[in-house]
Amino acid sequence: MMQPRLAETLPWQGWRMHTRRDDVQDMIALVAQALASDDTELLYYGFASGDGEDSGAELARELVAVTMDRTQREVVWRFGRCDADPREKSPQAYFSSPVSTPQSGMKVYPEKSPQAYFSSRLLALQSGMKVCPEFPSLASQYPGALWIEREMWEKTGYTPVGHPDLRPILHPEKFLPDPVARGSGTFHLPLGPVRADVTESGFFLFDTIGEQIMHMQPQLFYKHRDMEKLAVGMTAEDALLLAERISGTSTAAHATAFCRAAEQALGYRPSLQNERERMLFGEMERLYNHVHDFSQLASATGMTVAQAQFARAKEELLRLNAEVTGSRYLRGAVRLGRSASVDWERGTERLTAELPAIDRRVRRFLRLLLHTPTFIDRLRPTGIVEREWAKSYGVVGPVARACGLAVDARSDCLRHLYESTGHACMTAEDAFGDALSRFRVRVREWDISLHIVLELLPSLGTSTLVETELSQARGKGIGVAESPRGRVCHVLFCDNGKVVAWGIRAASAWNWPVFGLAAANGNIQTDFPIIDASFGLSYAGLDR
Amino acid sequence: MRAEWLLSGLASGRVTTTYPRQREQELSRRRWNSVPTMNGPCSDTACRECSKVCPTEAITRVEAQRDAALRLDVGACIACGRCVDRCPEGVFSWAEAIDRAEVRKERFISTMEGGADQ
Repeated sequence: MMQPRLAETLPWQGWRMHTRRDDVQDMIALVAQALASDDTELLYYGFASGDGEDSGAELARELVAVTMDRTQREVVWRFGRCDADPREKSPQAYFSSPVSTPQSGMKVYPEKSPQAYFSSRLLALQSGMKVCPEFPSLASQYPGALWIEREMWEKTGYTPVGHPDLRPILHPEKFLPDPVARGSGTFHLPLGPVRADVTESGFFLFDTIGEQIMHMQPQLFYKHRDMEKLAVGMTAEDALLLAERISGTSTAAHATAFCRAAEQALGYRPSLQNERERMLFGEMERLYNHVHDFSQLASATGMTVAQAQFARAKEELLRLNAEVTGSRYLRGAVRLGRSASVDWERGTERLTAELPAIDRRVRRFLRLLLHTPTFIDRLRPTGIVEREWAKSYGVVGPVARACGLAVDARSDCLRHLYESTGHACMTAEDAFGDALSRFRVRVREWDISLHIVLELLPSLGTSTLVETELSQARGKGIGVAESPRGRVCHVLFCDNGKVVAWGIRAASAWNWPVFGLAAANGNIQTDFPIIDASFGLSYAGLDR
Repeated sequence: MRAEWLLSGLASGRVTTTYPRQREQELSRRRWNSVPTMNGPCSDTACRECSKVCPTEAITRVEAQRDAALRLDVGACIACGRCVDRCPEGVFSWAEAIDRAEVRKERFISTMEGGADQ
């Protein structure tokens, strides 16, 4: 086997980091302007979700947007302060922003009729609730921020002014979406939140006419754990355990992104060995996730033999994970500031012995599937994501790559790590953006991931358990990793070695808003399981 | 095509594995994260390392009883393995059984004092 020629580089090496503080108006305008370019992507957007004392309280009013320019190789942190109380500007402001009581957690939402709206305001004013500040909406210019701003508005009460679709999102037990299609022949079909199989909780409201889906609105956040807040006050090492549990099927990706953020914030110097291990775990995770997606897609199209075979391969891969790291879902494998406690000699032996056999079987059934007309026919024009939507919604992962967009954290911000492993960003050749394109992207990624694993293994022969000391107690960091579903990004603020604020943007957080569009346009109800399986979304990743 | 599917289905045969009741029956790796168990009493009465490193407070020192009494609540454990790695006395190790079920939640709690497991 060819010896890997890994560049001696670490995450963000060779990248420039800028921090800018602006007035919140200017900040949103600058972010929107930057996002208009094809090479810039939004890594993180939101309030720094800490409500701890000292710096945490300061941060809670600070709007953060982190953008990445992949040609300039620079990451820009933009902060915008939202502490101007509109009451100071004009008394009219009492009637233009929502009212909330962050202390009691109760919120008053603007009602639809002007009278109800006015009386709710009056009531709020009399009971001494505070009028919350506002910020200009980014979602009005960049639809990718739609759900994020709804969540921000509900959590903090700060109003995104100009948001085109400001509805509650966090409390499905109180607010469910209303159907939008009316008229003779339309039918509203609610599905969930209890679903078949081991699927997590999610509610889907279909507006249908005959078999056609006219409109579909997903409602999530049934299992919202508010993890970003849970971690406040913890040490980074303890918070890593939470990060691993954000989404079970992206454990390694979340842990890697978190560790990279924490290492930047706390001044750890990870060794190259650490990074190689993390890359390897990331690819092992991709392998079992992709084969699971193949299995789900085969099940949705009624290909039972293929479904069973892929499920078998997934189980074999999970057991292999357990043999190498001690956990089927790779928990505890990625560690902060030190390498994994893995016997790489034995791990290499097991992986090189087992992977080729699994690969042969998976390839054989993939080839059979791609030559089965009934399978291809079900996938071909199903669940199309237009290239334009993918761009404006900031879609990531195989869903974006199926539209022909070269969005892959491994080749844009982590290229210097991955370039010598033989990784290439796999966009669909036809770029049709449908279920078949997504399937084909995953098929090609299976090969690439397997190649990376086998390429990385020989460089892991020696396990160093040298712990590096943290060199600073205070700072901020951003960590990025490519999970099987796309880019995962963590933003971390630390003070005194403890987490002050934490922000998580999982791949599914970018992909969920576009799912409704993909399910509705020209598809029929029986296409839904196929679209669902081809997106392979994680509920927990968005809910967190 | 149909024949190919039929053949490929038949050719892969029946794959069954035994349920791995014991850790080493199915997986050869020694350190397979299941839940920890206590091997014996802890002789260092001043050490609080285990309760300090446990992220879910599953391990506590029972002060009211004899000095060295340790309380382990497997129901609260998330199998992070820190106690196994860091106990200087080697009191904790991974349990042999890979799963565990009890009728009542309290049965997950075990205490260790003076050499006897209660």
